[in-house]
Amino acid sequence: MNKDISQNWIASWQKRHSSEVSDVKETLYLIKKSPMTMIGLAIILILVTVAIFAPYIAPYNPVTMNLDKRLAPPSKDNLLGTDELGRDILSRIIYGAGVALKIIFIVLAIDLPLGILLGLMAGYFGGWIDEIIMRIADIFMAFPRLILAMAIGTALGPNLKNTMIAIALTMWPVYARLARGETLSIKERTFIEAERALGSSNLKILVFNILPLCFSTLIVRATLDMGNIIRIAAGMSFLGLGAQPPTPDWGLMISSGRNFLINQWWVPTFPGFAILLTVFGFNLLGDGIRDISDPHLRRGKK
Amino acid sequence: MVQELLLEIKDLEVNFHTYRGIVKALNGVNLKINKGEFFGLVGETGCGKSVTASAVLNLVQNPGQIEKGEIIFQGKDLLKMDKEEIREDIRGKEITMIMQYPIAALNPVINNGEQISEALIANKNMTKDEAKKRTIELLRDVNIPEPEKIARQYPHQLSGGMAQRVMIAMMLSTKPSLLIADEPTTALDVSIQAQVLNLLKDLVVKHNTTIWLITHDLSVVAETCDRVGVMYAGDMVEIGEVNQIINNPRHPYTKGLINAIPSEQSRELIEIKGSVPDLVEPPSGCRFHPRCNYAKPICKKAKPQMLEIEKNHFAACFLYGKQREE
Repeated sequence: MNKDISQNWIASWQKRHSSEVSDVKETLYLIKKSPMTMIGLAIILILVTVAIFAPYIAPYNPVTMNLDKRLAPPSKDNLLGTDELGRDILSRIIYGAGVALKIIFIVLAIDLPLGILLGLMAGYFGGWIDEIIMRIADIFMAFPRLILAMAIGTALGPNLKNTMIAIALTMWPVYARLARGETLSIKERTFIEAERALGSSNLKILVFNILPLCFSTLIVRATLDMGNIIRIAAGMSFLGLGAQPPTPDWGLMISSGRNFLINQWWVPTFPGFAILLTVFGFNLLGDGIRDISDPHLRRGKK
Repeated sequence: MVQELLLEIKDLEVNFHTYRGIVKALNGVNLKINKGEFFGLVGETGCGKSVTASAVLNLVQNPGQIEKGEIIFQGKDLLKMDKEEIREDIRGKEITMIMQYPIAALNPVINNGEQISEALIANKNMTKDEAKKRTIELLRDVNIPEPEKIARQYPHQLSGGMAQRVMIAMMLSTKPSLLIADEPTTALDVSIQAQVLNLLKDLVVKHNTTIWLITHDLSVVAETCDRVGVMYAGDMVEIGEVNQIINNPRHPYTKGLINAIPSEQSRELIEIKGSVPDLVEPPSGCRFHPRCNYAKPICKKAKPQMLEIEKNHFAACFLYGKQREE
């Protein structure tokens, strides 16, 4: 009896949400059809899993030194070898995934809302609001991103938190410009006019009509930027401006290991691979999302 | 039958301030629409039909500016009202508008049902469930088969005719006193056109809505409207009941328009020579005189006034009335 009711409920839920269900199904189908997206997705999923379960996966503590085993080559005990202080490189890479993801997450958590807010306002209201926001954005865009991030990072003082602030400050103009551009074209479309004819307020038009249409572009851009964020963060750590020892940060690991590249190649090489693979994964995923969200590729079933 | 006045536009002037100069889009337009009437406004592209409608909704966009005139709706002058007040109390509640390209006029990322219930929640303070129920009723009212299914679909899954019905349902959701239909059938094919027009006609009767139809297609007007206004280059040139305009046009421009419809007797197309004037430097006097076969010296000098030629039939031309002698 109970089973009947629950089955009925499931059936009615499926019926009510048929268009959403078929949408999700189609998305999965499109992902399956694109091997590159699958690879990117797999890399990122592995990265996230590793970062979450780092304490259970990592064979050693990432910061415990063991001076007896300095610079040991890859072996059964230390799969990827040890660094100049005898710390297990594999464990440090595993913990480093969490650091990298934290940087990405916080930078985007600052930049996406900020960029969207400013971009929507600039695009929708135009005039002097647009002028002020976009000229400030131009100032930020006038400097090479890494140089600007370094300058801000140095001024704020070298640590991980300031690195994230520095990267966030250099990236928001990208999102503001994108959101503005999308808004400019969307606000001229007929359904916005129709919405006005229905007496909707500016706030409602912005939140319910323009914002959802900006999302797909911004999400794709953000996914592609995740790789960039890791690269910049690694670059800043490499220069000593980002994470400070003994944080298991990939950039920092390359930086401190670069002296050993000739004789103990494993020390800087494996963290380098970690960065390479992660950036690669994010780029593949970003490309994939762009293709999948392209309406020309979708052919919604009734 | 005593007609109750719903909307009166008096001497409305709208200019667009552009780089090339001031475009005099509306040059003193006068117009009356009665309650429960199906009013048609005809004219070529760019003659100011749509601008007139946007002026009524207070949606004239930069660089356009309403220079002078009065728009009296239900006894109140809309041009003297606060902009926010118009948005909250008039637009969407009392006057709504349906557009030319129905699919473009629906938000592509929100499903059809939600677009309508959204309007109901915002304008009628309904709860979500009430709005959903009412949405289905509205969709059924505009003759949509399987309204529950259509409500779940997205605009791109609809045909043009279906989308226009959804649009009509959405704009009727708040029971407006005046529904402006800006070229509602231009983007639809002919058989669907007839269906949509008949639907609009039914609505006039059923909901006691007043419909103001804007079109460039005289045949559409002939089929549906009670009264017709003809516009040319920002001027109202002729207003009258539909059979007066179609069978006995008085203004040379209206005559030209009607002659341009191919008939059974002559397959030849008779065009109105010349083209629509540049409104940055409109012709002096009567704006139609450079293209008019009956133009007289006076036409270049003065603007003709609207004159009642027969009952309820007005034309602005020096061929008629006292103006003729000069």
